[in-house]
Amino acid sequence: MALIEFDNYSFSYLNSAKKERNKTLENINLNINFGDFVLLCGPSGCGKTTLLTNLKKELMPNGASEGYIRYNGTEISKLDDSISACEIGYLFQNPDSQIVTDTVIQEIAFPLENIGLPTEEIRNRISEIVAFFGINNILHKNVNELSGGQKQLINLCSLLVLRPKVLLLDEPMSQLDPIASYEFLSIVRRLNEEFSITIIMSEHKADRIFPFIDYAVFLKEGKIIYNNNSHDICNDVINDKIFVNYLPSVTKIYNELSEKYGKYTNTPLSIRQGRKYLNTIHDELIKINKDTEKNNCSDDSDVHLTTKKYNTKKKSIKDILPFSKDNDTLIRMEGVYFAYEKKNLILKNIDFKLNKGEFISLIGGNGAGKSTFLQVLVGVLKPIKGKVKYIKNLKIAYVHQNPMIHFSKDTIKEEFLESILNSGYYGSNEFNEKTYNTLLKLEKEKFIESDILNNLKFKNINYSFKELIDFFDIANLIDNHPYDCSGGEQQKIIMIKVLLQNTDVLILDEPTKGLDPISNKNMAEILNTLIDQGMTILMTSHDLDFVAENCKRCLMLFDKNIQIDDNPKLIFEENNFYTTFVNRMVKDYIPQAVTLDDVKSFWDLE
Amino acid sequence: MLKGTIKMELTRIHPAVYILYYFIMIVLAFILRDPYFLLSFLILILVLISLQGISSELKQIMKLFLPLSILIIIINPLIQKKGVHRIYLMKNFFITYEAIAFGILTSLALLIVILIFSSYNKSVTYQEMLYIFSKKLPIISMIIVMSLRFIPLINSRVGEVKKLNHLKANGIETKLDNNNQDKLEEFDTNISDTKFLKKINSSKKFQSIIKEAKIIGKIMGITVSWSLEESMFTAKSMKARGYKSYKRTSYLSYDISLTDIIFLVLIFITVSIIVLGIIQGYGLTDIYPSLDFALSDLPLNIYYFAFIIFLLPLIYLEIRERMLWH
Repeated sequence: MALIEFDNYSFSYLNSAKKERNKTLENINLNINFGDFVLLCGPSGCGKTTLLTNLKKELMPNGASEGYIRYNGTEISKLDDSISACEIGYLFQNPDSQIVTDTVIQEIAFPLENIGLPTEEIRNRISEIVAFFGINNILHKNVNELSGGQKQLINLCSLLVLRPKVLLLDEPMSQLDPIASYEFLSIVRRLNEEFSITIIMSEHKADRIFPFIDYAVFLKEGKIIYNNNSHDICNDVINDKIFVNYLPSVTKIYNELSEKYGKYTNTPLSIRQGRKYLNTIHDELIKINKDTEKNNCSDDSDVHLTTKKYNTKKKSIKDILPFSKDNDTLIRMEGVYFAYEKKNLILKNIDFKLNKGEFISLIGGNGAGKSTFLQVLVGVLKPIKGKVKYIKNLKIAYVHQNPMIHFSKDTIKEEFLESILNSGYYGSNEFNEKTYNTLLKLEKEKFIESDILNNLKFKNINYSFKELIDFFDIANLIDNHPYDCSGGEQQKIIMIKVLLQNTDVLILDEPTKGLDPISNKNMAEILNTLIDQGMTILMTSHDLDFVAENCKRCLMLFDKNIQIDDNPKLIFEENNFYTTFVNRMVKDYIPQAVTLDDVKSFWDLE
Repeated sequence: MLKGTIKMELTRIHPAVYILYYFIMIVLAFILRDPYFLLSFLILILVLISLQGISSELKQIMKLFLPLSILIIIINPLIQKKGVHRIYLMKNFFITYEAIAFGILTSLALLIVILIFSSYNKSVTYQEMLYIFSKKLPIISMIIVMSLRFIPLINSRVGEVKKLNHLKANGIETKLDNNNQDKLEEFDTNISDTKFLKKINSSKKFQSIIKEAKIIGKIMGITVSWSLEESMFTAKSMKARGYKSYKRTSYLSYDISLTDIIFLVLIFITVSIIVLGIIQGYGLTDIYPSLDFALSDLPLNIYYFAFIIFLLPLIYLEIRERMLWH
């Protein structure tokens, strides 16, 4: 018998504002066996979270449901309190907001105190979990001193002391950096392998998860579209425009190659399996390589001659002298030093120029000072030594890692109006407080169509207001509260605000964090369009694929300084460990291929 | 554990015993009005605190307290005219010797109480306090724990939001001129144009106050809505982990040890002797209407020695702790 059974289950939220009821989940039929590792995928808003919360009695949202979900033969809503609390664990996205108490040991003890275990038993269970995870040294620490990854680990421990049979993980790694998420994932895998804990996890970045899972469930608009084991599902979605993006890079390359060179017994999911496949068609690949080298001989030699520009070496006297002027330079950092505490430098002697029209990304390990770099650049933090100079009348927009804190109004509409009012770019004839108030009262459609807004000219983009809204595809959100939007939507809204303010430089702190692959693509498209229209963008990112595909210039922060400042493709081409999955896969054949498109063009797979 | 707390590691005393002990100390500090008793009290408590380590909070409090105590010593004689021994400062203006003595003794007692509290903070961690309270008041102790987590969190959030507010229009737009970063601080105010407000606007001071208030209001608004949004998840996560489905227990456990019993017996014996003495009037010098006190009146009696012994155990334990470590 399956551990969890969905029997024709449908669910719709009770929404008083909207009369029409959209089913958030529709006719879900799914059986999950004991010890399965299930991955839930789908664009944001497809019902992943709703599906997970419906499995947990305490978190079940208000709404109307049809059909049944059974856990071990009992309906979820009729489960005993203690069984639901102990046997089903639920982990949320944000590591910070789940922590209730202030010390690690108190936090781990919290659920055990809740279910009324005697003190001896509580200490027993804590000691067990501490030994398993090796967290002895942080046991008495205050939770504020922990990193995001450690916090999420503590949250997981706090579930595990209850000895759950099922873990529901709702995008647990979306807020973590790649290293921390890899560690987290390996622990989850261990729990699944060694203790046979059933795991249902929703996640966007599937590259690392796919090799571990038993099967994947792809959801779209509340329906299960694909549901198959990890190897076969890759074949199923090969022609699906949305879900093909969720596959690991290795599988994407395989899919391209297999059309030409035939299939392998199993679809490769990890780089190890992928390399094995490449080995089977080794000779043919070598042959193509030789052909392309002959054809593009001149090009290739060029690529190989340009070695990376190491920022520390490449500095002419002209660059060092302060009076050298460059008309294209918008912001210049000159010998900037920064530290939060005495004698603990975060940035050391940084020289940097931001030129007009550039799309720059800032990469580097966790805690390398990326966010600090941005905040010094925009002037939120004052450098201890050195200067940040700006060209006259420059407008910079800075977007925080947490976009939520940029909003202070009740509706998105009002946020836009406020931006226009504050921009100071329009005369009082064009836009004043009266127009603000009249526009605010307008209905959604009339607001977007209104002449006043559509007559405004923006400095850095050729769209009218309506075109802008359509381009960003947020027309139906315009009456909502900003907090009700997903992370990707919030980023979009801020970008529109930026454009309405006619800023010249856009500085983004991890805009790709927690985005699903489709939103990720959207974001890339939006940023590239903005660049084409003359905007200058600087962003930090952990997503190397995104950087390699879109940016032309990439800074790598290391040891308090800019280590490399060059085209990302050249950087990743020479890196062995800190590089994209695609590059790792095909490194032995075509080291210069960093993105999927590179591979396609090198091996002629269009 | 709170930062800067250096607790005795080698001796564990039950928090309830601690609480009882410190409580009696505070009561005694309020009752006793004998210069010798209070002076020895002060000296011994200072020794204890210096052994436990002086915290930065204590230094802060002392900065406030010292001017305050001087004020008490000066003001009390000026107001209080009771007392037999008059000291004439001018022809018709006198202060009394008793009032001065009262002022000094009161500020001394206050000082002792402050020092006792500071020492108490070193001895009993808040977790031990919680252990004592959680049995009788489980919900209140839960609220305390949660606020200990929440207050630093909200503080750091305010910091983040503040950073953005240094920029114009909440970080969305920053207008910067060459070498003129001071302009960053300028904000637009959108005050409607009634006459009264126009007047206020014309005054620069008012304007800056209004600006400041608006900014603070905005920062708090954003922080609160952010925190509320996150708190929803905290509540959900509490619920998901079985909060409120059973009677809560505590993971903390402290057993009564032999040391505790010896300590309790010691407290019991010495305190009963001190109480006997207080009933007979030892340790309570009458100040008003007439203070008859001579330095030679050394209180060499059993009650005084009982009092000294009462104050010694923690000092002994602290010293022994040091000896054992080295």
